[in-house]
Amino acid sequence: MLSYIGRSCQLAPALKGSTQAVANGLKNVIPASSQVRYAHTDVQVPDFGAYRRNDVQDPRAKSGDTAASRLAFTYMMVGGGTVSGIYAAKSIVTEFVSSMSASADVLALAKIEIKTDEIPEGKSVTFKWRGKPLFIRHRTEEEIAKEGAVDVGSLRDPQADAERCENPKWLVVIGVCTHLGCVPIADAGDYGGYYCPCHGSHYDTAGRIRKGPAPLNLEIPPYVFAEDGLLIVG
Amino acid sequence: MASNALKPSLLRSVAKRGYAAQASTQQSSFSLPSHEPKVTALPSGAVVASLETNAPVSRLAILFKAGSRYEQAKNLGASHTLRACVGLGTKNKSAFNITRTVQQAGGALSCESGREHIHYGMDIIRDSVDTGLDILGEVSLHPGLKTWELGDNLRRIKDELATVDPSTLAIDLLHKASYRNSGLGNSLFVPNHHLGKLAPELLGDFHASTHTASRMAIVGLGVDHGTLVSFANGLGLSSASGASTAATVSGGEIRHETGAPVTVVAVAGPGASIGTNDAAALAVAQHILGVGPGTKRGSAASNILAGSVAASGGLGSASALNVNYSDGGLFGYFVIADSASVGKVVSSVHSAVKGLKVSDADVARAKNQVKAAILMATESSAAAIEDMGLQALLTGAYRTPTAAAAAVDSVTAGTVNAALSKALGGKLSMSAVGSMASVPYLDQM
Repeated sequence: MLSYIGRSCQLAPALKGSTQAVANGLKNVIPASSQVRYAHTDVQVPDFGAYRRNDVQDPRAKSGDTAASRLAFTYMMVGGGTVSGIYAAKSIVTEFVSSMSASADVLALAKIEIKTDEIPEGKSVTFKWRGKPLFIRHRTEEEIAKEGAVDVGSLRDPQADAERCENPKWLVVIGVCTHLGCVPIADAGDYGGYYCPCHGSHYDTAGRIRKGPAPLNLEIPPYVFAEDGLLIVG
Repeated sequence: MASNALKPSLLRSVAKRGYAAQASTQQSSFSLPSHEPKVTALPSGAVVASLETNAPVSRLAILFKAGSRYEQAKNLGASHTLRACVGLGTKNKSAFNITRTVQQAGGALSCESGREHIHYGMDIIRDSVDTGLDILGEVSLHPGLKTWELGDNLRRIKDELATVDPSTLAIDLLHKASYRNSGLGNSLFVPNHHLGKLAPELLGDFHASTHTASRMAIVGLGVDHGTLVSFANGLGLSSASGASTAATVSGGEIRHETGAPVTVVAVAGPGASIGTNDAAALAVAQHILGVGPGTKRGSAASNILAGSVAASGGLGSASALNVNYSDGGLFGYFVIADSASVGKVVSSVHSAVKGLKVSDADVARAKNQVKAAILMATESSAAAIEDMGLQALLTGAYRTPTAAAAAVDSVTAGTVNAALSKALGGKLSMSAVGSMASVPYLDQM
């Protein structure tokens, strides 16, 4: 009885200590004397003035007045940065991609020029081109007529003579047997063209395989008759 | 579905109009049954009290006579530490378990400790009362007191100590001065030299000697009485009654210099113990002197103490101080004043209190104020369960606020004057916190 008379007065909180272990919304007033609120006056508000533009440093200036110049500067920086960035990226990509192509000394050896005047009619001359033997034959009228008359259908690797020789007077082939890679002998064999001594492949004067184990005709490199009396291979 | 047919607005309005034409059904009046408080004294010595309030939220509390007055020199601060450790792990449940279980049930767990009691409280939805009782029993009876949890909890205690306000400190020191040879003089708070030094074994011993069935009260608002009784019977506590010291008032004086611009002074003599006639008389005297503003943000300018403060010419406020314990109490006054003028304020208030002679008109007014204070204080269920718990714990019975208010009716001007002269004629004690330069000593007043 009457235990709360002393407690109902304004000094009641001073007569006990309270701990709120688990709180919920039911407690409208939490009498937890362990609740502490600190005034954090020691926390400094960060100043970003060093990073802000001079135009907007003054809090009393209207920012709209300087908006155009600030935007122009921003756009110029972004645009200039984008352009130079793209150009730099393109240069880097080009640099890397070109590193994969042939080097200058290789390219220098890639072509040879041949003076056709120096090759007598009916002769096959051997040159070296990109590390391989190159046969150039100055064909006679007789040979041209003979090869043109061959029935294409009877060939192992059917190619007409006109397909193989841009200029019927000149046969340009790589001197590597298509069988196993030996170098055939010119002006030999049953067909008067080339003969591979390794396994007995016979090529005619258009470089076509006529007899023996080789499966294909002799390969024709890219070449062009640049001017009169000058043949460029490669 | 049938209701779909009524969805088109034309049909719906026709149907509504049809309902409107119908006679309204007669509502039979219904009121929830009102209940009387029930009190059961168990053979073990425990007291169970409850009141069915029909509220959707139940309030449960277990109280023990385990306040600071039962501490010895070796374990000073044990009750504060036990209170601060509520919610930490127990012997059977982890702190996480307790927190999540209470939150899932929509409850709140709190603990309060005074000089005589520790109050473990739980507010919980009515449907989850069993969960609440389970947690409450676990928290109050089987604290884990793990070394590492006690260490982690030190921050909370330090925060609490750092935020003890001067008024609380002054009243703490007033008790220390008055009850210098008695346990009631112990501080509510752990002393600095015991901060973090109370070993789990020491706390466990204090807990075991104070948390027994004969020192326990279990109370509930909005809960079934039988549930509480069977819960109390199932606890299996020992009935040992621990030692306690008598509350003898010896005069004394403690002054605490802090140099603060506001000084707090409390002066008191021996008051009344709970349940005596003197308690009612002193409660009336308290309200005659003044207990602070009666209205929110009011000035309390009309009471005697406020008048004496104004007459002194100083800056401050004064109110009566009336504290009741099971076998003693303190009655006096409490002053908060500007440090520069505290001397004249205290002298003026002291002479006003000493020279107080109450009239019948004063008593009649103050009796109404006391009754209003009692009834209004118990409007909130938090205060109601604290009152019920303390009554059950300290007196073994429960009297409703209405009955308590009726007890004030028997007070007359004669009994008030007699009680006042007994209180203020006894050995006075004094405590002061703040700037001591102009605070008078007891023998100078």
